[in-house]
Amino acid sequence: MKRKVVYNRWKVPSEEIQEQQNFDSILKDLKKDSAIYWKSIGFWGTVGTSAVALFFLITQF
Amino acid sequence: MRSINPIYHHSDQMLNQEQEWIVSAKENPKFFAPLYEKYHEQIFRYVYQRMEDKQSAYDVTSQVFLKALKNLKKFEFRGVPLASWLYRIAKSEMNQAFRDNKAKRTINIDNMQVATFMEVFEEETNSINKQRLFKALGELNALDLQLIELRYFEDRAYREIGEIISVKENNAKVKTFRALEKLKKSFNKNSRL
Repeated sequence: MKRKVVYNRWKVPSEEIQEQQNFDSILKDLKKDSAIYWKSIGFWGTVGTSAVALFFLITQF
Repeated sequence: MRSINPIYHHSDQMLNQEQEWIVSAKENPKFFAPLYEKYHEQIFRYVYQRMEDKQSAYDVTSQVFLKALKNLKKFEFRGVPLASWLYRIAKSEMNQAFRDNKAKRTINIDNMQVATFMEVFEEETNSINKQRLFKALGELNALDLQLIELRYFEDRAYREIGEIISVKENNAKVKTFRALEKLKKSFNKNSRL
């Protein structure tokens, strides 16, 4: 990987970094990600496989 | 004398407090807020030290905390600050950003750090030697560069370095020494610059 060397870069003040803190936005993204899982192939694949397995169990016994 | 990183070196009381926050956050992510406030600047500085663009560093920092929250249930408290785990996530997120070309791997160095290396190498601090050092740093492999950055740029204790790169303290010390030797060798090789 090619690297760039930066010499004597200006140090970002703590106040500026603190201003960028946004925990609410991270919580929102977390909720969005949890919601997306319901629509994922992984979720429906698991649900589908379980349903088929259950169907066979019920019909066999 | 090497200064003590107060954010890393926790008292038992601080570690217990952190553990309590983690247990609460596992039940409800909103209780992760004090840990976010505590480590946000530290993680941002770690990321920005290795990146060119400030906004990309802020984005990666947010991703680190998002990933930490997603995986918090898997986190096991082992008596060390949460920071070590966050650094490992940060490293993985940065590598992803570099692979996706969303950010460029950067080595940030200042005149004090250049002077420190010149002292270690017993060389004069001048523009030619500075260029030789920059070239040598660029030639190190990813792990050796990481070790040099953690120890000589960020002034971290070997114990902390060990926790970040997942090795024992002594092993971190040996690996860092070897990385410095490689840097010196590469620096001497570039003597014709």
